[in-house]
Amino acid sequence: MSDVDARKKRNFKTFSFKGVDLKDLLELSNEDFAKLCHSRVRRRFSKGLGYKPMALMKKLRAARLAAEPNEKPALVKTHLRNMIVVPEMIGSMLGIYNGKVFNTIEVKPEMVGHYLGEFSITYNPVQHGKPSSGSKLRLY
Amino acid sequence: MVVHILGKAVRGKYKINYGLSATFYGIGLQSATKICSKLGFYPNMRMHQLTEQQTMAITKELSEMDIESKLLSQIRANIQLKKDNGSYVGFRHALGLPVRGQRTKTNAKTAKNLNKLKRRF
Amino acid sequence: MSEEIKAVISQTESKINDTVNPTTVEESEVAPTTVEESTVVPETETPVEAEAETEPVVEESTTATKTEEPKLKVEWLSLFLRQDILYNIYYCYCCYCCSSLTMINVYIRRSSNRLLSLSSSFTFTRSLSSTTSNLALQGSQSFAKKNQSYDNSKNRKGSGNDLNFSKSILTKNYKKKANNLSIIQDLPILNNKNLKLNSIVKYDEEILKKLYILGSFKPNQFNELFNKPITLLRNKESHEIFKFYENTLIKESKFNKLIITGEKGVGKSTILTQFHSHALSSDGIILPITNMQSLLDGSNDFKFNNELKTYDQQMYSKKLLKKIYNLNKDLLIQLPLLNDFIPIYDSNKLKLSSSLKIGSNITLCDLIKLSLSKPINSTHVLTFLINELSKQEKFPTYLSIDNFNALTQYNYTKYKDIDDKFIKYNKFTIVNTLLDLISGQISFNKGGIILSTSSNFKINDTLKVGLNLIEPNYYAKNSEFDLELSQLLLNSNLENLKIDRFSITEVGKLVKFLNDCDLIFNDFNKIDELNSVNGDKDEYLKNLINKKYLISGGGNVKDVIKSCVLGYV
Repeated sequence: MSDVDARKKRNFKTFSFKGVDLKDLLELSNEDFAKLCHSRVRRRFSKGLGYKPMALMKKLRAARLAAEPNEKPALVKTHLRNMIVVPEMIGSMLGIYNGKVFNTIEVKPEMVGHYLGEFSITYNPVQHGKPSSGSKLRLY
Repeated sequence: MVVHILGKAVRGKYKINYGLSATFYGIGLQSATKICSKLGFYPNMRMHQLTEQQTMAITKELSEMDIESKLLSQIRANIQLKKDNGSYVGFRHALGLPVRGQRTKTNAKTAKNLNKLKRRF
Repeated sequence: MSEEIKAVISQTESKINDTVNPTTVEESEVAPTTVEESTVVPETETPVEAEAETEPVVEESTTATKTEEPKLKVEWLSLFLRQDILYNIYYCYCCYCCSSLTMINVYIRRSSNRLLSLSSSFTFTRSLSSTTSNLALQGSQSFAKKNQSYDNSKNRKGSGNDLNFSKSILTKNYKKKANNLSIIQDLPILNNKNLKLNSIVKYDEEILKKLYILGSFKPNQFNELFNKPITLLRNKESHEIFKFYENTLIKESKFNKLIITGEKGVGKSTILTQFHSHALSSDGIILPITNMQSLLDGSNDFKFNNELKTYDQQMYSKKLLKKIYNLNKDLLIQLPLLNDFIPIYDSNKLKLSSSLKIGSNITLCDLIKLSLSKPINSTHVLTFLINELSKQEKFPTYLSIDNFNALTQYNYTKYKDIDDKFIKYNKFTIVNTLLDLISGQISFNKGGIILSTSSNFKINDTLKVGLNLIEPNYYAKNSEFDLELSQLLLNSNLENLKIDRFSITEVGKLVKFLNDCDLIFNDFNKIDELNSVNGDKDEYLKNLINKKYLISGGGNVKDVIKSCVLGYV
């Protein structure tokens, strides 16, 4: 049984996106990556991302270069909630604007293919019977 | 008369495909019918007609599938992963609210019932 | 409905009070102690004793319970009505009021053991107007008594009272309660020497037993109205089926093929039964398949036969062999085995232990007995038996299939193979053998093949093309049209016997017979109509026949009987 459990855990930990391992994923170009994703993302890439994300990508690259080895890169603030997480971003620190403040996240491999806005909530969850005080986003 | 399969009791009067799909989480009528036709049971066969060997054959088929606690833990792991990411989907799961943009002013009963209790832990 | 019942209850209550009160006053004055005794009569005590002890005192106890639980009473009654009016309405709808009075009587019996003696001592039961409803009353009373002594611990299956009427026909012997034995005994017997066309006949006693084994009488044919099944010999159809029967005595079965078609409720199965009766009366061997669908709808087991590459159906063939044996054993015992029979066993251990060889007085009867007693491949036995029968010349042999169009409906059966795909009909051994018989590849030396359609199943293009009624549409769906089967049917040259609706004279025969048997329950205006024709019964009957002919859509038999028998038509 323990053997089976161990295998299960290992399987759980190894990350793969649509059957592509993390190592291969990092080497993919944006176009190739888009082919793996669902149709909304594919359409977005086929229409073209525009110039704004390019600026963000440049900042991210610079931050990563500036960072010392084994340390996290500096925070990059952005308003681009509709930007799609591409493999290149993995490991960067991002401040995503929710309309009021910049919520800090570290991009994990599992986030690939999602929008940045998904990771920064824009509203206060309703709490009945308690006075709402500021942004109480520590639910998880 | 009751037939025991994988430690679960199934009523003898059930047809086999209906009995299996009613008893096991993760087995619907379609996959139950597939098991039946693979093992050569006729469509109107009842649970109490199964021989010992046939019960064993069903057990073997079922043990190869992802059902019951195995399936549940998979589902929970998937949800947990989304929560750990800090994604909006995980957030809505944690709140026990609908995940895909449905309204919550009224209704949303399915999500409120399921997302909270059944899938949370 | 419920208001009517309440009204009836209040009537009876007032009656009870009227009749009971004076006596109870007297009695209670005389013997007050006995009141207590009777109310505490234990349940086990027999009703006769309770009756003998104190008649009127128990009556008073009824008034007591009445005041206690009036609501419960109405509930009880409605519950009771649901079960038993269904049961009775058939026979006594016309005298509804009277019968519901008697039902209350019965209800009171059921409601409490203490009150048992009450209803028998009461005399408020009115005499009923018709004899059948009297019988129904008796039936419901015995029914109530039975329930009283019902012991739950002994029978876990339940009383079966929860069945509705159409289902209970199968289990409850309603025909015993019918009251027309004397009329039916006077009817002529159906025989194949002197056909009395256009008259109602009964079946021969010996043949009737076999017809029951055959399963000729189906639950929706209203046979329970009569003590014994009767049939009307029709001018055209019965004559044609008789002509067909006469041919089968001379020619091979490949030249005698008939299919009976017709609309719903027009008497296809009845004509088939008439043919069975002819065949049985002249020493014919019948292979009866009463429900073709049971071969195809997944209600029997199936197993792949590696030699033939088809599926065997052991359960079905065993049932069929049993039926064939019970039906024809006195004829099969006269037929010797013509080929060696080597049985196929399921397990290897039993192999070669018993094979049947020619000579040594082994008959086909022994063959079937062997298959019924030992775990051998009974489908193999069935096909072997059919081959044997095709070689003998002694007796005419018939294949009769009812509900044949189930085959054209389920050309893909409900069975599924290992890959979870539906299996086609021609992958089954028994169906293939039957189709061989129909197409004429196997042929009996004397005899015929008679098929009958059923309106419970679709009559799709396959059958119509097979009978050369329409041109095939090659673009039709698989479920609508099967080219292979239609070609097979077309090549086998089936003769089509289309059953028409009853003519007005035939309807007249039937309605007159029902009237004689006192079975027309729903003619509520009978007295008025009799008065309008100045009491001339013939004139009244003529009007009635015209009316029934019109109601039944121009002579559909089932609708004629329904319009006479059912209360709500």
